[in-house]
Amino acid sequence: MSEKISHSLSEWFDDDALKLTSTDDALVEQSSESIAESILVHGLLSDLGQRDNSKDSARIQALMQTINEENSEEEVTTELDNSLIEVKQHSSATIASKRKWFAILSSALAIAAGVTVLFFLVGPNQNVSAATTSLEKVLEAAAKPFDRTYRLKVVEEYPTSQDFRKPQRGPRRPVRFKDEINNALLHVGGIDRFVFSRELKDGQKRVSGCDGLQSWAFREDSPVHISSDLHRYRGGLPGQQHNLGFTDLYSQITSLQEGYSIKLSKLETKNSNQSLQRITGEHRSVGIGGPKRVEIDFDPVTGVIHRMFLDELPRGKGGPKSVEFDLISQDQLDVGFYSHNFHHEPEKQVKYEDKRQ
Amino acid sequence: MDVISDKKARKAFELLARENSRMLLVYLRSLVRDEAVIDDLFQESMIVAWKRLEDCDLNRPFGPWLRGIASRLVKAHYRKQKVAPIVLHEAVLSAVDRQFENINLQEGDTWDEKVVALHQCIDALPEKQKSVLSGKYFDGLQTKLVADRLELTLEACKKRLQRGRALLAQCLRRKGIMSAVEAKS
Repeated sequence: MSEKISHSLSEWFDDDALKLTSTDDALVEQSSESIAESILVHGLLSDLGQRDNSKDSARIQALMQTINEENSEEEVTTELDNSLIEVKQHSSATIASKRKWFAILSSALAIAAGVTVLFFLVGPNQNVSAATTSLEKVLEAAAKPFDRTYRLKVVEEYPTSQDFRKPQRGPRRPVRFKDEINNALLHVGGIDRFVFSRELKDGQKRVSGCDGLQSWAFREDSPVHISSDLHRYRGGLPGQQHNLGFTDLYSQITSLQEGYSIKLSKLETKNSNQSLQRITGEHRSVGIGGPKRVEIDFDPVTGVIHRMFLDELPRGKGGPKSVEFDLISQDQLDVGFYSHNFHHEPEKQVKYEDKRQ
Repeated sequence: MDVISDKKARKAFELLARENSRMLLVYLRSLVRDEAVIDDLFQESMIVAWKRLEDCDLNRPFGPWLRGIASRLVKAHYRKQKVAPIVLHEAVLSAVDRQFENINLQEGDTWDEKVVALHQCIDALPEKQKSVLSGKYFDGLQTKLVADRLELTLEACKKRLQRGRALLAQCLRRKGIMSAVEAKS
């Protein structure tokens, strides 16, 4: 790749202001394969960094809502205006062609559709129905502005290329994320209100959070970064991704309502004063992100989660394989706890991040 | 009966949309910088795909057809802005499409499974390149802020970013995720 093309690509990917330099068409054509490689790497990295399960799910929901609304309009038009033959024919043709398309497609997608749709309609009725009701109760509790504090623990990590190279001898090598996530604290106080604090490998504290108006993050030795994008700072690990997703408890629970087979069971606890129940979610659908398995131990009376276990988190996010949250407190936190001001000295520098262009 | 079949068709399309959503997002993120625009183009691409399903050749894979729709919408977006970035060149778009097809041929049911080697390649990067790429792509910082954080000049930071992407491309080629570049005379 020529220096000129390389420079043009660098400007495109890395200049903070969108700058375009003119490029020789012949030169671009000659280097098209190399340019395509750079573009793909940029796309893959951007996707890793911007990944957000709840947003991804919301995108599809919004899409299907638009499609359903448009289709409803077609059916109403057909019923109300029989004299407009062209409209009827168009609608009929559209529906007929879509039906034909569906007939061909359904042979390939029947299993996936059946598992996802039929389970919820026809499956083990009582257990699914009870599990669904319980999940709604848990969701309702998670949305309430009551404070809960969870301690996090990495249960297992994905092996890395370094693990493959070194033979396993003696005690297992300490895992990377354990150093930074174990004993991290997640405070939640309803939708879009959380504070996630943990100690980094170098002993510095990193805190991120959202107060429903702004999301924010800082390390002890850096300014406070603030964004009006509430999804911006989700407690990402340094050097990996900035959206762990599982710091957003409400979205995690919401995602169980789609693409998961859920069941309810009772738990035997040592504490006879407390009886918890467990919702277990097994991920079934193809192409949907999220952990493969979720366990939620909750109080059936209040819906409060006492323990949540996320297993086989999406590898694409570059994070740990499985994580456990344990409820350690339901004490009310101080007013203003979810705002960044509460967590640092007043003179600390603050930087407002605009969305990158 | 028509209403039921149409509902089933929509359900089947929803599954197709979910199966291809990750691929489409990576494709759009390769060509467009603004996340808000990416969201809009994602919706438009899928809605156009739904409306033009009867034009879709069912004997061919859905992915390339969907990318074709997306690339036309991306071009229209830049035309409105009256800009023609390097990414829009026909030869480049064709080459990008070939790379996506190569990924589609990898083992695995989902996009993430097909590109799992990406994480190994990121892990294997030298610390210099890993830190700048992390700052830019995973911490969401502007390039100037990445440079400030690492106490680099802006130009030095950009050079490390370029080098990091080149090293990743080499690694992905070795692992077969990317097809080898054919040298052109």
